[in-house]
Amino acid sequence: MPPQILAVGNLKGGTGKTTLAVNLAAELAGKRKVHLVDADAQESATEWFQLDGGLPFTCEALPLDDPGEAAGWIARITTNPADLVVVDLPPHTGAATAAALILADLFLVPIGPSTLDIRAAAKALDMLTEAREAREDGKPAALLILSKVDRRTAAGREIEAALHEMGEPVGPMVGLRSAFVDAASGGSWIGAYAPRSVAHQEIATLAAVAARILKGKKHGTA
Amino acid sequence: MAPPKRPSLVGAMKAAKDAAGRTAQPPEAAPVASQPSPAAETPAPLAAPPGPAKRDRSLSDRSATTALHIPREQLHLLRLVAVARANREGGGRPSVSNVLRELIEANRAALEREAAGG
Repeated sequence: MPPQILAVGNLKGGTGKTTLAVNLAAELAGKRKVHLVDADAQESATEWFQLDGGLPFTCEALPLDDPGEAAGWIARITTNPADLVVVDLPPHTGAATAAALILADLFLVPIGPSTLDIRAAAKALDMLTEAREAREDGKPAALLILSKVDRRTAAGREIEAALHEMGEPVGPMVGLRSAFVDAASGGSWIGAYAPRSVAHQEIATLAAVAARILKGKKHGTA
Repeated sequence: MAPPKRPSLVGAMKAAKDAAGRTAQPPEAAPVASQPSPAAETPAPLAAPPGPAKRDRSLSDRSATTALHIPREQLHLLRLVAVARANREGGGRPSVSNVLRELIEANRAALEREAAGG
């Protein structure tokens, strides 16, 4: 049985894609066998994994720059023996993002608190719409994730309101927390580095929502 | 006459997926490393987060924030100690700063002797 596929992408760097992909993969690995595909040529997720901090999933670097190699890339992902493949995408509208949208069951779009992030997300959603039209199965489901947000700031509060106008469900937010950086520095993830912390609870909440969507249940907080 | 519409990247990827589905065997996956450790089916729910720590105003007023340039291995060790202490003390936020403070206090006499030229 092919694995379910969760892709994490936005068309802008610095939105927290890799932080979200690695921590979500680790949290979701508590209940299923998870494989992380690092499709970003910068290979940040792979480097994180190679710090050997005991991340509870398998990982491989699998960039896709040449659309001509897409069939092999797709086959490699869809035949992975894991229950769930998490794909960390590069920050551009290249072949990897397009292929992931064609494969994914769920597309998570982390969006930081800036208008540039919102604009990039809007472009990603255009691509998402195109993929849904091509697939004709209504997939992938999508979830906008307010990322790296300091809710104490006006920008943080306003950006959350803006997300709700983008036409896709908005998931639980993930705050701007130094614990994420500290965990990554040691090659670990938030649930191992700071269990039961607020940061861990945010990831656990988001993972629960993602798992629910992957099971085919609607997300009710849009 | 309008030029023919260029197929989109998404459309090309859909075709690639269809092609991949028709091909026999994909290349064998070779993970970077493997540490699969799926835990129990239903892990215990997370406990409520510890409440916000009361701010030690006297300490914060006497403190300064700085940056240290130390080997990664030493920083990693400090973080591991911070995590171990936080876990021992009920799961609060690990604090490398606290570990450093305690190290300094434990060695204060020797440090002050050296500072005095001893």
